[in-house]
Amino acid sequence: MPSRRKSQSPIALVLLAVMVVAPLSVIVSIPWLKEQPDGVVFLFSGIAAAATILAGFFSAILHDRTLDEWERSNARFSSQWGWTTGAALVALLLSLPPFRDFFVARAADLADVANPDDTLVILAFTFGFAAVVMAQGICTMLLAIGWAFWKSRDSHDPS
Amino acid sequence: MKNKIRVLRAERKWSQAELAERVGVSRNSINSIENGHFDPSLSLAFDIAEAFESKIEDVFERDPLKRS
Repeated sequence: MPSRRKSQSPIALVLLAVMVVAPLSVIVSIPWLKEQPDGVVFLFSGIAAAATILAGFFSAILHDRTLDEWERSNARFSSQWGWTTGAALVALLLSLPPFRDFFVARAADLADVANPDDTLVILAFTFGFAAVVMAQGICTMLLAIGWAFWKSRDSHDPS
Repeated sequence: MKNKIRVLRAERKWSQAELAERVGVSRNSINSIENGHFDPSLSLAFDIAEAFESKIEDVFERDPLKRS
């Protein structure tokens, strides 16, 4: 009996390379980007972000096709609880001074600012984090509704 | 769900990996199903029964202690 399992394709490797190279290119280019106008910075980082997201999206689709139902159950369990635990962990870390100090110091370092406003940095990070969590919640809800509609559609079987 | 996969494999001298290859899933899947830690879908249960050339009810049976 032929196997239904599919091996990783060369496309998956290309997508992985994009996911590594695109963000790395932004990090490596930070010194050069600091000297560029805002438009160039947004364009460069926007293209890198879009490439990373798209590559990640298609990579997830390709990977999902290689999984059997046991592996899908594993992925569902680990992602469901992994995301929740990770989000709770970040919220917890945000309340701890050593993490906040480290984060502010790194942000100040990257932005080349001598005395950053700690509150402003932490608030910006908190709002960004909250936006990600909210977006994930909304997307999860929309996909759950879409999935329910799709799985509840009428059969085309004339009988 | 209880099953007789271990017995049926032993009769045919198949390893878990061999059964997994025949059915088209990972060895971990077969191991979990065989040990009763994971209930397969109906489709996979049929595929496993088919690999043993048996009826599905000859391979799987409901566990009365785990009725949901």
